[in-house]
Amino acid sequence: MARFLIRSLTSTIVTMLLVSITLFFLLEVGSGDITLKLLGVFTTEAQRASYRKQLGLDRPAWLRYVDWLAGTDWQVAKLLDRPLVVVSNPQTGEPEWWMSMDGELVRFKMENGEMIKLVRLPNGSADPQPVEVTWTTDEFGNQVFWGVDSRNNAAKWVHGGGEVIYVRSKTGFSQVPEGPVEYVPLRRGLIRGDPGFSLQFGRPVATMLLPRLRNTLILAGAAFLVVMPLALLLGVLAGVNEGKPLDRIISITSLGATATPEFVTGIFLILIFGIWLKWLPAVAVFLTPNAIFDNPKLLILPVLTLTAVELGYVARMTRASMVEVMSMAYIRTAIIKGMPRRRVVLNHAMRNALMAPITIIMLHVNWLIGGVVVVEVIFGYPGLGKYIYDAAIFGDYNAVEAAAMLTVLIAVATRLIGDLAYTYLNPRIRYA
Amino acid sequence: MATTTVEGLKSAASARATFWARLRQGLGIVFESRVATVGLAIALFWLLIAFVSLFWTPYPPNAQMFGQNLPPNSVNWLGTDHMGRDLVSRLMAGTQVILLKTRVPVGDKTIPIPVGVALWGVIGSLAFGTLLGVNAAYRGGTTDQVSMQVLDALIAFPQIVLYLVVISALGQGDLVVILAITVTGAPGVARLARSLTLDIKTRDYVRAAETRGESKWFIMLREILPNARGPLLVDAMLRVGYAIFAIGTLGFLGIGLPPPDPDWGSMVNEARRYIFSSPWSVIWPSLAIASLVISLNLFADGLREELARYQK
Repeated sequence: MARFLIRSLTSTIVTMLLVSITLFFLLEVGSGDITLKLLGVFTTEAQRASYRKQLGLDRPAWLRYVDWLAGTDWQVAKLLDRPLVVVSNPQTGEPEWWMSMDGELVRFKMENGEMIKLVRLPNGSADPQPVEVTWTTDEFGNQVFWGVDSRNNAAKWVHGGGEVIYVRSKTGFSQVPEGPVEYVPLRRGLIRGDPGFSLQFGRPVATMLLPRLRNTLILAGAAFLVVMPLALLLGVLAGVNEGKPLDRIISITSLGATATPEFVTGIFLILIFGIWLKWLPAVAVFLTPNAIFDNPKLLILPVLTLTAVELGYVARMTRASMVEVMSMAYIRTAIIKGMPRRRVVLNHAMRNALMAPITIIMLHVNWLIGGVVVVEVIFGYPGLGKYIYDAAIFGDYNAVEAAAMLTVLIAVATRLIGDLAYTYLNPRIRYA
Repeated sequence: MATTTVEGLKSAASARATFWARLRQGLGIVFESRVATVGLAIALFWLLIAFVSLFWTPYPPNAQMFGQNLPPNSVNWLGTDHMGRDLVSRLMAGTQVILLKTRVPVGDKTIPIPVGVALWGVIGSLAFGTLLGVNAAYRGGTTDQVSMQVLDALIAFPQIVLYLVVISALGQGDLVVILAITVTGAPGVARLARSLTLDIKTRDYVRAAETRGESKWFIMLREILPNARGPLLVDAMLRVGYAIFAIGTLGFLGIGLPPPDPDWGSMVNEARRYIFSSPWSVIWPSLAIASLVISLNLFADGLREELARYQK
């Protein structure tokens, strides 16, 4: 057992590494100039280049993968003469990087060729004060200083010779005359629990992803609760009546439901219940983050769509398993010895027949994720699936990577649980 | 000498006869099952529509020559879409890119080659997956372990994310969709091929070929592969359905087959904005995709059931 667990754990880690590398370089090839999408086409090449530098996109791709995986703070630690500190912003709760200097937290900017330190006040805002920093001489003979700027970057300033940079803020795009010449965006890396900033929204991926994940879990959980009992019941009914009209009806309906693409099912449900009958909201627009609890009606159509697709699959699995069990010798014996059919089915057949479908459903989660993406896009439901979709279309690699790692983890974990449940339910199987 | 020629002719003739006999027998199996017959009929209907649309559609499928969002009427049997295009013509032409032609960009022109995107995707995953699976199982050892690890990674990868990323990376296009379907389909085929090969490679004829000193590739391609053909082909039939499903979904997500040729999924996606005022242009392509995918599933399912009974 321990060996089995260790082996699956290593396999999971290798899988996630492979997936993340593939995704990273595919996005690298495909997303083109992301600053063009962020800033619009009416910006100059100089502005975009400056912004690309601030995002750290001028670093080579392999290095950015390492940044993403393992972080950058340890890479710049020896350049900075003071230790780095992460504190959360009291307004937004998002993490910020500061340097600890003589008992206070500081960041830096340059004015008139001299460094200014921004001292962090208890309310999270910064107080500019002049400061004497130690300039070091680099290989080109320039006087340089590495510090943390006000945008969570480690930045290199050159004494007396700031570079013109373009800074993006809430109010627009402004020009700063004396900016740093080199940036390393600070992050802890995924393996230390930091998926980085979303390029598209400029906010930490983690804070955006968690409510999305919650919404998706609610959606998938509700669908699961509807699907499981119903599908098992239909599957058992069909399996017990193999070849009879009831079986035909259930089998063909469930085949049809499974083979119909999610978006077709969703659109017909919208048409019927949302537009013609006007019983249910046709889209799931969240006016508040917790709209789902205030108005559970929003969930009904998305859940029904997922149900329609999953129901058929599970019912067919259950049917096949039930048919197999019903043809076994011990069932025949039970029938021949005069046991009531109801008891044979409920006590003898069901137990063995439900083992396979329950574990197979666990292996099926991966497929469910695909369905969730489509359902969330149809209904505009703000969940993980729509997040992946939006991020992949935009080329926001931090967001795609984080969301994909999450889905891979969910898929692999459920597969493991399925394997373990199968071992537990079926004593004949033991893992070496 | 003379006898051998006669024998040769005879055996050639009987080989031809067995081909027809086997075809008739194969079709017989299809007609044994009502489900498979219905599936085949619907699929053939769409195939026929596809061929007809090559030569004739009621109106040019991309001509904006009618009122916008019209309901079905005597001129436009199924109505028109939001750009005033005839829906019958667009539905008919929409079968081409799935079943009949693939548009390959050569220089700055696009050249249509025969066989549709869905079928090329399945052929791709079949070729790639079979090669990988047979090779892994036959060679065993490290090759097997490495191949299986890569496949596990591919299987754990949510397919839809792979589609999204591959297409946003390489741009929309028929070849990219084929590639995406190939990559997502191959692991399943490879697993099947591997399990079949693990069984077949213990057979005597494989031993005999090894003793003769045949090369590994000869054994894999000429001894093992032909004997693993049956289950792989039934599996491929199901995969055609999945591929059309996937193409529809990609079109719906706005990253499917590119214009100008109409594509059912994209038609649904474009018309979705007008669903409150005129549902017709959403309904027809949705029904078309669903019917084609369901028919292929029915066909494959009936066939499998009938073959299982046949083998018993």
